Amino acid sequence: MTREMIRLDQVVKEFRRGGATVRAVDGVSLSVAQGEFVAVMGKSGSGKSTLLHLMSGLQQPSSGKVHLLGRDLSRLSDDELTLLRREQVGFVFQFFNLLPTLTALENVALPLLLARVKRSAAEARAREALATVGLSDREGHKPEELSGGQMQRVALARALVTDPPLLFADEPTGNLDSHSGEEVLLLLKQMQAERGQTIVMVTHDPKAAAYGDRLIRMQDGRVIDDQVTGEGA
Amino acid sequence: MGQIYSTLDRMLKDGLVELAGAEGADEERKTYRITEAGLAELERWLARPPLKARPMRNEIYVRLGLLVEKDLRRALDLLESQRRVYHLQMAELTRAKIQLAKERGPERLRQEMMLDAALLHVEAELKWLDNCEARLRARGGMEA
Repeated sequence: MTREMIRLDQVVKEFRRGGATVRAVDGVSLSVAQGEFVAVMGKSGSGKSTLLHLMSGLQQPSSGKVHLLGRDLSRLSDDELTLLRREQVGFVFQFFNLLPTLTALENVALPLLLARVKRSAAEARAREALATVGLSDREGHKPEELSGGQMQRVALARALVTDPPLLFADEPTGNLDSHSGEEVLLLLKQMQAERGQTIVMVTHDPKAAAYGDRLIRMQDGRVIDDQVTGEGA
Repeated sequence: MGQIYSTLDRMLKDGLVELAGAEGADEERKTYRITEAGLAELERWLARPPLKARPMRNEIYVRLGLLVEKDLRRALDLLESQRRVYHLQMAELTRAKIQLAKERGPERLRQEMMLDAALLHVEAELKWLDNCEARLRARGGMEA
C-alpha cells in the first residue's frame, strides 16, 4: 500500500460575505497517495484555491476532517501545525512571494534559517536547490532583476530546499508566458519522478493540468470529476 | 498510385516538370525532373499561407446537434464525457512533449511544433464545450 499523504472527509468551508454565508467548499472527500501529481481545475470561484488552503492547513474547515501525513490537523496546536508545514510541505504561489530585499540565494535559504539551520549549511543547500532549477548564475540577483519565469524557479527552489515530501502549487504558471510556464511544469514533473514528491497543483489552465496524472475538477465547491489521466489511464 | 500519375501529367502539361528520359534498360520507369518554373512555383507554395481553416469534421458536432433537439440533459452529459476524453488526450500529448524535451536532434523542433498544434486544438475544443454548456443551460433555464 502506498502511503496516504492527504485525506479529506466531508470537508466544508464557509465564509461570511456581507450578510450572507458562502460555501466555498461543500462536502469534499478525497485521498491523495504518495507520489501522485494531482491537478485541481475549476473556474475562479469554484473553491479550488480554498481546497488547497484546507489541504495544506493554511485554513481550518468549518466542518469535516483534514488529515495531512496521517495527522488530524484539527488536533494540532498552532505551533505543531507551523512545524508540520515547515518541515513537510513546500508552497509555490502565482505571484512568487519572494522577499524583494533579499537575493535569490537568501530567499531560497530562508526556510532553513527559520528552522535554525546554520547559515553556511543553509546557503550550501540553497545553492544546490538553485542549481536544480537551473539558476546557479543568478544567486546574487534580487527578484526585481529576474524575469517572471526565473522568479518562479527561485520560488520553486525555496519550496524544495527543505526537501518536503509534499508540494502545493497555486496557479504556478498563472503569471508566466507559455515557455516559462512549461519550464516550471517540467521541473515539477522532474521533482515527482526523481524525489517521489507528492504534488497538488491548482490551475484554471487545462494545458498545465495535463502535466498531472490525476485530474480533479471542481464546480461550486464540489468535486464534479476525479479522473486518472496518467500513464495507462 | 493512379493519383500521382495524373498529378504528374498535369504538372508536365503546366511545364513544372519535364521528362528526364528513361535510363538504362528499365523502360517502364519514367524519371521526371523539376523545371525552373517548377522551382519558382515550389518557392511560392512554401511561402503561401493555406486559406482553409481546419475542417469541421468532429462527430461531436453532429451528435450534439441532434441531441439538442431531443434531450438537453443528454446533450449536457455528452459534453461532460467529451470533456473527459479531451483531458485524457491532453495528458497523453503532454507526456509525449515531456519525453521529447529529453531528446536532442533536428526532429525535436518539428515534433514540438506539431504537438503544440495538437494541444492548442484540444484546448480550443474544451473552450467550445464550455461555450456550448453555457448556451444549453441558458436555453434550458438551468443554473451554471
